[in-house]
Amino acid sequence: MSDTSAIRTENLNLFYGRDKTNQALKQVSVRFPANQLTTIIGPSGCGKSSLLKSLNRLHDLKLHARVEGEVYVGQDPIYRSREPVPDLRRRIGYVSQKPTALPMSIYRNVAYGPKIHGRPSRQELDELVERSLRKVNLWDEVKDRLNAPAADLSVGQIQRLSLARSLAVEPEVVLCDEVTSALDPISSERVEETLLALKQDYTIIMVTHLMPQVQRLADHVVFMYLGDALEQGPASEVLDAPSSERARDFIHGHGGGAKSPSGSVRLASSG
Amino acid sequence: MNRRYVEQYLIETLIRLSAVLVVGVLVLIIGMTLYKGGQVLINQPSVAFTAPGPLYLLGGSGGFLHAILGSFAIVLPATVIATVLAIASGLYLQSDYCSERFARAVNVLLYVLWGTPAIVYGVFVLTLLIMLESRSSLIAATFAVSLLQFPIIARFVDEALKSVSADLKETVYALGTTRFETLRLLLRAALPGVVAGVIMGFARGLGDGAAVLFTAGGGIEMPSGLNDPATTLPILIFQQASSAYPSVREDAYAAAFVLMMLVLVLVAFSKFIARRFSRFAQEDH
Amino acid sequence: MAVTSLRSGRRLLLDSATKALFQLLTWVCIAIFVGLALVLTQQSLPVLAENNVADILFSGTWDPEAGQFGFLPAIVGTLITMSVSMILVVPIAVLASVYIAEYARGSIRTLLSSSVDILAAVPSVIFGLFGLLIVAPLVDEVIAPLFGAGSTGLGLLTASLVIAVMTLPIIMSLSVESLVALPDSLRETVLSLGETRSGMAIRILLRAAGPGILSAILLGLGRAFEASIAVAMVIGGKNLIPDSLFDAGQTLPTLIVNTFGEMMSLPETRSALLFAALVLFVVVTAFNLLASFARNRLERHWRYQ
Repeated sequence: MSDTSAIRTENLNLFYGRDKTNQALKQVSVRFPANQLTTIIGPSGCGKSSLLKSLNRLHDLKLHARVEGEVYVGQDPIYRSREPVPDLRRRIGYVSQKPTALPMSIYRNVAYGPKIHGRPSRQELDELVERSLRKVNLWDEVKDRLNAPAADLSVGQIQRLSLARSLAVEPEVVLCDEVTSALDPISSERVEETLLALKQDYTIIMVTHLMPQVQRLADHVVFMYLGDALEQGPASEVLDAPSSERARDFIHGHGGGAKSPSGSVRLASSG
Repeated sequence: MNRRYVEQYLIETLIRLSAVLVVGVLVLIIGMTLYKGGQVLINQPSVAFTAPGPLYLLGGSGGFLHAILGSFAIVLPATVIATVLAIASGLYLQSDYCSERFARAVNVLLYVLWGTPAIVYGVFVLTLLIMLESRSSLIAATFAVSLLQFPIIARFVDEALKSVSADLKETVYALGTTRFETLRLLLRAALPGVVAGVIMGFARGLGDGAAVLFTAGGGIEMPSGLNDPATTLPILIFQQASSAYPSVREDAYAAAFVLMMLVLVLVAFSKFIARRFSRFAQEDH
Repeated sequence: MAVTSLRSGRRLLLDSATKALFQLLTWVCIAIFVGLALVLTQQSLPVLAENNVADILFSGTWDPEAGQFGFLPAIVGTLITMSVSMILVVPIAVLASVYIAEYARGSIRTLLSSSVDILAAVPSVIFGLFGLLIVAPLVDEVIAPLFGAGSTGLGLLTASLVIAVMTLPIIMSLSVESLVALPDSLRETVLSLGETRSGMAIRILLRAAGPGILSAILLGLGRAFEASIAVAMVIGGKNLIPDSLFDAGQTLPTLIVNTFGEMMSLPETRSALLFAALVLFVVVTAFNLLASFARNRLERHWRYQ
């Protein structure tokens, strides 16, 4: 089975705080199958985003954040690897919850990544920018104003631009952190369509707290609860027949708004 | 591909060197003042506590007590005046009393004044003195220093008042209070910021030489009356540093030691108050 | 009922009384500062009546007894010291700000940012002493011989170095502030493209914080322009157009400081110096307004999102 997983974690622990008092991930061992869309779900504060960010070493930025265990991309351990972290991160793209435009033109937003990694010719860059923007269905909307500041776009467009920007460096895996949470329903739908189209070529890992979105998109699901990965497996299995009570409550009771851990506990005791 | 890591190494080296340079400059300045001034003060501690002899600036006997007392005699009342004006205008500019347009215009004026060179205030007060056929004196210097301090303190007052939440204001008004009663409460909530600003203004007044250079008189008399000349530590240091007598130049470091200590203690105190009480303010919400 | 209305009547009276008092004091402040501008202008009229403005600004001769008040040496000195000090201080201040905002952690960060705070609080006269004791010998014994120039240690280069140190904390504290204010999502996004930390700082963060840093530099320029006492201590004070950076010179503020003895006695010199103060006031105000304009305006066009 391991040959089909693009990325997997092994006994991953994450501690926050000066004296490691706050444990955000507890012995998490999960795998994310290649060329599938995996969603990480669970109540707020359960460690979804923490898990996602540990997959391309974004916790390195934080003071007092400590990672133990290992993450394998293919066969390569990324925390023990000698590969420079920037090269590693190129292979694992990331789109943040907050739509983020770099302070430059639309064109240069997409061209920025390829330019730092090599010296593509003007023609190669043009093609790459167009291809990346087409993949996220943004090309037609922006092709006439590629030199306008990216910040002039709408939030929904900026989010698709962010996706195009990550794709332009040709990653193997794309991490998406609640990418639709800042968007209106129509923009969300467009981003979802884009993600569905992309999973033929990429492994996509997405954090979300919207169960309908999970049902629409997910091939594979990981359920997190208070830092533990309680469930993982193909979407049909996990969604239809969750083995743990917590997951069952979350998945079925989600419409009731059980977004906080305490909310789920209350639901569990009353059910 | 390797090019990027060479670039990273070079840039990070430059960044680190710059940071080291900044700390180095600070260490040099503080170290110089403490070491040179400390030497003088240890050999002859009395310079800070005795009045100058008649030939003090020509290498004669005595100390610079007159400048220490003069600094306080000028800057303390100046701070009081500037604080009263800053609080009055700060409260007035809250939307309750005047129109928003007026408040915005005055705020631009305050911003301009905040950046106005101290020497301009000094020259202005000196010109007034000449027009009034008066002469440099303690009170003239007090006026000049309060001009310098007013915009500084006013800015702190304004920021402190703004940081008190609008909710609090509405809540208090809803109890049926008048504007004055509301603002009194607002001022109480903003007090830590205001006090920090007053102390900062006091420190700036103590450290400034340009506003008082022409207006205080700058002799070697002890401060005696409002209309008599006085001197402050920065003026004294300026005079001592350009002296032809080595012993006088050495004393400049002793005076600088005293001035630096006063200012640093005040700034530390102001930061302490701002930090200490900001916690209470948060709990209030 | 009667008691209540009496009481609320007194409260309302107090309210109007304090309003009147606040209003009066606010207008006193405004009047004083309008008076400042008027007095400076009115008092510089005599020298402007006798001389052409262009003559004053572009003549190199400063000879009060002959009635010649050329500001050119002071203006040239001001421009030179300002540009040299900015060339020296801007790269160092910006890079050190990047260190504080992006690299330094924990106690080192506290140490560095308190260093900046302390430096900002040091009285300017102490910067002057620092110039005399440390910078002047450095220029005299190390830098001047390096260029094969003669020097007394007091001159434009020494003044520029002192100004650079004085403006360092202003530029740094505002630059650090605007870097720290950038959202983490920007950092995560850029790093995820495979960018190095230093590349991110130089290519993206400095750009995104650009408006704030630009306004910090303009405020620093304003401070450089007004530095009077400290610069007067180290610039040498000569009203001649300098030939090299090692020459003694003059800036507009030091012109006022160094000739203040004459001000009292000669009305026309006084008028000329008040004109210098007026020029100073106008230019510094322009810089400060430009700085706030830069921050407000550019932030809208040059934002990161």
